[in-house]
Amino acid sequence: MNWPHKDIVAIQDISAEEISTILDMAGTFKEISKRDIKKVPTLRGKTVILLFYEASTRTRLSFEIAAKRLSADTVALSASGSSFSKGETIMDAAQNVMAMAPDCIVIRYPYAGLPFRLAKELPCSVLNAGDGFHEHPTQALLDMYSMKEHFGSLKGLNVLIVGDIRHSRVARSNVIGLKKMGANITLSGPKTLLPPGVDTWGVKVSTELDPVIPEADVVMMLRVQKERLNQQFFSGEREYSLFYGLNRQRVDMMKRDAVIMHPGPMNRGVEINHDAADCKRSIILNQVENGVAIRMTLLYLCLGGGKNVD
Amino acid sequence: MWIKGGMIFNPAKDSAVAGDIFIKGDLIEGIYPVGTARSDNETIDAAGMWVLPGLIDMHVHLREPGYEYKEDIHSGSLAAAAGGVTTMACMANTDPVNDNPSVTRQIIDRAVKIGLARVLPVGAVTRGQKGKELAEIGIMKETGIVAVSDDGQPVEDSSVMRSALEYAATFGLTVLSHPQVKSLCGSGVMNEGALSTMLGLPGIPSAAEDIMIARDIELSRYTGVPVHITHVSTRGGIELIRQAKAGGVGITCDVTPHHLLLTEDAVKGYDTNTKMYPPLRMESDRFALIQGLRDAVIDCIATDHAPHARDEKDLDYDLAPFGIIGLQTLLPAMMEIHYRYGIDFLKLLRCVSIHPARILGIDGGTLTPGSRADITVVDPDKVFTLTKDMIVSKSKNTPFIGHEFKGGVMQTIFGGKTVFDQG
Amino acid sequence: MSEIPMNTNEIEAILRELSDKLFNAITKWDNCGFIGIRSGGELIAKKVVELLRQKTGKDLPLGALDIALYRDDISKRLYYPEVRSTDVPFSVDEKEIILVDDVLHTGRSVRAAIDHIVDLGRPERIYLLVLFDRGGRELPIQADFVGRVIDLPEEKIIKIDISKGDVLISEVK
Repeated sequence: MNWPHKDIVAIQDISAEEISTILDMAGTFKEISKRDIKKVPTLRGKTVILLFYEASTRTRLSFEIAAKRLSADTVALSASGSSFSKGETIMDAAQNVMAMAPDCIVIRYPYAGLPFRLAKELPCSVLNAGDGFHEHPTQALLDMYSMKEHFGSLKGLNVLIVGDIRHSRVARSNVIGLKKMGANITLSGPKTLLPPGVDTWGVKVSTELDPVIPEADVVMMLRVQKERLNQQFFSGEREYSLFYGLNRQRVDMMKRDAVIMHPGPMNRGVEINHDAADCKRSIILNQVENGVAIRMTLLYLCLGGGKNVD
Repeated sequence: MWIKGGMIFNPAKDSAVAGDIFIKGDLIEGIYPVGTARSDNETIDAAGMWVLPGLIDMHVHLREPGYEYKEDIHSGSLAAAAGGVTTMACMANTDPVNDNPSVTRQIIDRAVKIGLARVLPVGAVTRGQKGKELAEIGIMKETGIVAVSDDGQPVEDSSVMRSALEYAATFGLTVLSHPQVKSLCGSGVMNEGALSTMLGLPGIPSAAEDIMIARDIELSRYTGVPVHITHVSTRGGIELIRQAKAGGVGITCDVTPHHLLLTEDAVKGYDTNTKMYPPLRMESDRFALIQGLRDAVIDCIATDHAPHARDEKDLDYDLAPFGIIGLQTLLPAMMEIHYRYGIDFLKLLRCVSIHPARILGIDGGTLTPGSRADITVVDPDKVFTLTKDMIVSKSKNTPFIGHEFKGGVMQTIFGGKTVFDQG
Repeated sequence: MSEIPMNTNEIEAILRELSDKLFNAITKWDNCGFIGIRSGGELIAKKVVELLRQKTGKDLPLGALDIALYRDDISKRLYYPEVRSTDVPFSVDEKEIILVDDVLHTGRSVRAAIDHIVDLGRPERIYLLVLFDRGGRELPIQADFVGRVIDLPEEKIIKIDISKGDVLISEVK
């Protein structure tokens, strides 16, 4: 088994076979988090630098814990805004970080393209923790793992993603990944929150939510940013939650064995209310647990070789 | 000075015939049959070369005054000379804005002193290019502007645009319109569509351009005053212009070489040297532009030469400024269009000679005896790959680095003086 | 030094010998556990536990360990050793653990396995049981119970498929 990628920038770049490899391996790493001593010496002596230019608690925490459980050393830097706000060009900032010889940079950035550029220019591994509206590959992988864990297989699974698809990198990465794995995808949201070109994605699109809930095995609710609800994309929280929120009635319309997912953090009362978030069908907390396992898997695969196998 | 043995392309006569040109002082004295040239005079051997009137680029940004770190009139003139461009119309979005005669005067005087190209300022339409009050167009005309434009910005307020059209016409000037509905652009940085979504970059819908083209057409139709639309990039825009022309409206337009050669696919890889307004569009748009050249719906080719310093462009795609340089790649790009699409070179040549001259109300763009000796000698077979070192501008922001061209400028003569010599 | 046993009967005989030795050595039957190193030691441990069950009537605790994440040569590899899971369904604290592997060679796998066991708890004692000791140690590690000592040139590797009773010798790639 050969792992040819130095970096994880986009699900677009990972083949279906490679996704399978990741999902199959994640179980082993999940088990480590259940032990008393939640640590293996695998990445001992490796340095992982987390550059989070956007606020994020759970993804950053998840990556840090994943790296630490593999015995790597982690350093986390948070900065709001981009490096540009300090008058530094991106490549300058990256060169500065490289001078400290990290083995891996985990980067979350408010604009698309930086992880791609860093991966191209830097010798260390680059893991994309979300870049602008582009991709959030590790989230998609943990989402797929959670689905596979529950249903056994992704092929033919009916996945419904609801919400602000237009501005969601989680949606993009999930659609790309799930399609590679043979799932059937339906997207639902108001037309203003569907991205340009969505008709070329090979997915079903429905601006009405209720008709498509009963056929879904997975109902994934996306976070809607409250600021966007008051701009011209939609007319406020009340209307949004009425037409697109997951509430008691909609949960009752779901298939008996269907599950509820959410990448977090949740806007309770907007896209999802407590009936849905806290009910038995919700595997939202599994997602979080699986996030650490998936990130451990990716760190192991990208860093465990030491050489750029490309 | 003699230029002997070249294939002389004269758009005024619509002819391409071999001959010898004699230059006396700063004027073309006459065109003679091949072999007439005396060897005791200074000679340029143009055997196998094409001899063209010096190119006229009606849309450049020379950045002086105010942004001299990006480019100035001197470096811009050097770039023009290297590109075979002997006349440039430079836009008003300098600092201070060229909305008054003293800035106009400053630009003209600088250019004359430098003496490498004819620099014709385009005055602002509105004061400070703020889109509200008309600038002192009349006095600027007296000082030497050849057109007005708020380029860089659209004139958003339609009543201001209407007034501008009529007021500028009073002084015999055309408004060069930069068509952009800014509210539709939002934070867009590339063409809106499936690709922008895939790359995660906010998009600029084609409607943002087409709506304003339609507005300008209607205002022109209504007022009877001609308007020139600059840097058209969409299929819809070209179609609107085609229909307007067929309906007798006084519309003219120009397109850039990069919109004729590149599409939004160039944006993959996030190189900010592919970021400009209007953005690179889809293949169907590009194809429509090529058709527009073929059936002469497009009047001019103009580079929209927009230098930006390296540190400014070396930012996230979302944040980098819009614009790329173009003076040195204008002629090679035209050659590529000629070779790839089989469009008659004289047709393309008109787009950088007599057409812009007519729209700006200036002389030039011909090789008529008695006119200024502004001449460009081109080697139509020269194959070369553009490298960063070849670029003469202060700024190197072009997507064509590494691109192989066929056809390059060998000599540029301005007012009888050789201002560029490749050999 | 023995000839390399090649068939099921010979392997079975060696396993019987080993379980007899164990039977005599282990003092606290209520306090021991068997852990096989994946994947070679897993089935051997299972067989030994089965043979001991026939002798003692007791179902002794059995687990399997994956050492991929404890290897010391991760950076040197150009490919990734498959990561299987560790499954030790009993506590190792204060127990006598019998660590089982098929071949003892450099000693590095055993070192990794010991590190892994220690991360699971604190055993009272760890014994090492191997089917074959082929020498070539790179670490000071010895087995307590050895089936056969064999001689194999460095460039050859030995693979044992207990379920089929196959012993395969092949070249190192």
